[in-house]
Amino acid sequence: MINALRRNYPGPGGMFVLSFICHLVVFLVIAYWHILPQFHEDETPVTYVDMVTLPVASPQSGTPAPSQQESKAPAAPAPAPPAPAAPAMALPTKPAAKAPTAKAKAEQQKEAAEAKAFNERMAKMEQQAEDRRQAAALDALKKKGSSRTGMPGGKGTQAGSDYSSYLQSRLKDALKETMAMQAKAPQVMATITVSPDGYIDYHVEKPSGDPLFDDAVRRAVTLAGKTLVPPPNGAYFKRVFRFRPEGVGIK
Amino acid sequence: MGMLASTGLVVKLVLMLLLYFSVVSWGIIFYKLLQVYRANGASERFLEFFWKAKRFDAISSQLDRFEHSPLTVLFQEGYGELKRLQEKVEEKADPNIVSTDLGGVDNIARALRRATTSEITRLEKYLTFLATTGATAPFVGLFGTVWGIMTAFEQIGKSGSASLAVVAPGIAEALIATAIGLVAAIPAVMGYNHFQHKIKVLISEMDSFSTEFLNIVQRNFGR
Amino acid sequence: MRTFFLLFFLLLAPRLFAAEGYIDVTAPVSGKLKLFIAPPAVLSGQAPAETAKELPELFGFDLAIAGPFDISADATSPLILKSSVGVQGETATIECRLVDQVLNREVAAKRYTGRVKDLRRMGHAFSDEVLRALTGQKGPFTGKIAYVSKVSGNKEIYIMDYDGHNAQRLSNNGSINLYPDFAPSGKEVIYTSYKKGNPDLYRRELFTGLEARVSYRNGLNAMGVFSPDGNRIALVLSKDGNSEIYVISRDGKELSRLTKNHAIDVSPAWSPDGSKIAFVSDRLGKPQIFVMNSDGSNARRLTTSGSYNVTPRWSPKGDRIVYARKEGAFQIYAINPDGTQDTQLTSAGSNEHPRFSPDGRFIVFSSTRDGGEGLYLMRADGSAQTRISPNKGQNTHPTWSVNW
Repeated sequence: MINALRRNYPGPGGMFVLSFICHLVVFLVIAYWHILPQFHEDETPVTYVDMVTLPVASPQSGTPAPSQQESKAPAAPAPAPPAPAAPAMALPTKPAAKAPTAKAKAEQQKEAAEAKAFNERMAKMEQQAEDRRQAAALDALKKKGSSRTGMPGGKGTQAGSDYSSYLQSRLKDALKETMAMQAKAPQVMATITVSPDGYIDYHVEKPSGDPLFDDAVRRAVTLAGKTLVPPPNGAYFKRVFRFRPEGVGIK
Repeated sequence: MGMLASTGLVVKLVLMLLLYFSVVSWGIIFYKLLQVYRANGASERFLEFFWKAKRFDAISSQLDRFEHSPLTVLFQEGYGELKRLQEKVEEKADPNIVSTDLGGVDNIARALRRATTSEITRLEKYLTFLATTGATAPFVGLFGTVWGIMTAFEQIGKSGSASLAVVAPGIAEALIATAIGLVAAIPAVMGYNHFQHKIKVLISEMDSFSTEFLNIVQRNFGR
Repeated sequence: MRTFFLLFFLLLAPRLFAAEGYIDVTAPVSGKLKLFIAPPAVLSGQAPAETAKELPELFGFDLAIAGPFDISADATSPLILKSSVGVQGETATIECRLVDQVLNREVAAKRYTGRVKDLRRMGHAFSDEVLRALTGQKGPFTGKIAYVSKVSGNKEIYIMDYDGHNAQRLSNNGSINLYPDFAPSGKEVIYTSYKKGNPDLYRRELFTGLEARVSYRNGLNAMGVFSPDGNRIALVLSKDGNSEIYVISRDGKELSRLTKNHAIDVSPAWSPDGSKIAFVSDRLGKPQIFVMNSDGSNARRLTTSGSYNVTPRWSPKGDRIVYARKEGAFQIYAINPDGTQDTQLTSAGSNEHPRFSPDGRFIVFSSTRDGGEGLYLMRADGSAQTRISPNKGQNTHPTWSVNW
């Protein structure tokens, strides 16, 4: 008798589906518009701090990177034109960095004369071993990093993405050290190339017009290039980077 | 969304749980919204119809039009009981004796009360889940946060660097659990209070309808 | 339920929405370039102990107030300023180098020789040079500041280094001397003096001390300012009854009248290209700043807020005008010449007589914030407000010369 009075009301199941769809929409909106605060989008800083302190990060012997950098320095003339002011007088620019380079060169020549062939072979072997060690360490680190960040290995097209975010974090740290500006919103676009032996080179695509900031970027790249792990798999790395002060100059 | 991706397993589970809470409680909110507003609308129309109609059997035949109103259940129960009483009276086949009608009104009142209780139960169904979500989701979120901060500090200790840039992201990631806990809890609490109020109104409507129904029965059938 | 979890994980996959193209490298705006000032070495002969302390302090003051540098005690800073001093009798030699330790090059290197008492000037000259090498624009630190001070009891014209050292009295006549202004060459000063009874305009050569009475018309001959080419002087005359603005040649002849009405018009200020003059007028009831062409045509009101705005000065680039607004006390404001971006720069005490440095980096002004009127310096955006003169003796009306 009582059952006859019961009616067939719809259950809440349909509404659960509706609610789920709503959540999905909200989630997509948040994800798409980056509403959540972001911290260095793709990297966990902890991971890369590890990377920097790795022993392999030290510049390897036999790579042309340091000597090239050093030999470049004296070529850049110190801009000290004689001022027309009466009490002022330009000093002869001292080739400060020349001495150690010359010494190194002399040493190299001596060594070469003594046991050139042997040294070469040794250096080659050492470098090969070093390369292998480095690649292995980098791979291990990448695995560690990716498991920690929860990335499922990344897509095939993003093979260099770990390295670019590594380089980004290094450049960021360096720019923090060298930051200086005069203009309101300076911005420098530069193509940065890292050769397989870890030598960094850069080409300014678009200068900021503020000499202070242009120099800051130049210093940052040099600073970051001093202790750089070479790109993985012996490949050249090339990307465009945009340098700018935080929070300003976003058109 | 790198922020969510780098959180630990426990935090992730907590987030899952909170998401489940949120989805279900929003489902219940939608469901209850529909139910309560349908019930209100149908009750209004039913009462209007009830006061216009002259005869109970006419009302009874039209009940399908107001199926969402709890009052129709009350009416159906009460009318059913009344009919049964009348059948009994006719069985006795003594039109002059009308002494049993007092007990008959009691019967109807009981039937009405029973129907009221069952309708209240139906209306309040699932509401407890909202209350539970409102009360526990912030704590679950807090748990996730505490756990996240614990692991963050552990990792900081491992890396050996304590600069803000290293510490802050981990803590921010952990705090997201609390945020989502609150996001889940706030609508649940609001929904729960809202529906409690609405259902209270419906209950008092049912009570007054029961009283009216009994009055009519007593006026017309029990001399 | 399982599909829903799967979906959730799928959405969490990072980089799904990451932007491609270039990679952003950012650093906080507050970041400053660290600069280490090495203690001076001895060049030859003997270097007095006080110069060993004075020189780094001087560089530190100059470069800290310049803005982009953080004077650091860390010898591994990107920039390092090395100096060595040698003193032989009355002759001092300093040798300064700014070395970029990151790019491994010398940014600037100079040797200065001069009298021992000019040591500070040599130091400032190198600070100027550092700014030129790093920013492409020379610093203003060897410029002088002329101002009015009552430290002797009367209002006299003084001149000092930009950082407040080496204050010297310029006028010495026991009457009232006001409104100094440097010629664009920095080698002449015009000012108004009551020394012959009437407020007349005088022009004085700094090196020779020669003086000429340029304008001595009836009534006020005040607030003279050189035009940017140095050939004309805009000033306020009251010979026709009330104060109006006139332009005269540098020798006081060839008069032309720019304003003509019943209101008071004072405080002319040339735009850097010489085409416009800003001035103060109460023609609308309250003192407000107006801008007109330098032939007196097309006067229009510049300041629209505040009820008492005075002493406009144009920035050397021509993009800003500073002035003082009275709101109880005076405060310094800056505004674009088209009337937009009216910005308050000071807030402590009463601040008056703002004036740009010749390179436009700084504003010098007088303030009562520490009790008594003293001269202060700030960057053009209002930061780094620093006192440069003692706040005794009512120091007002500063004006900053070009380097000489």
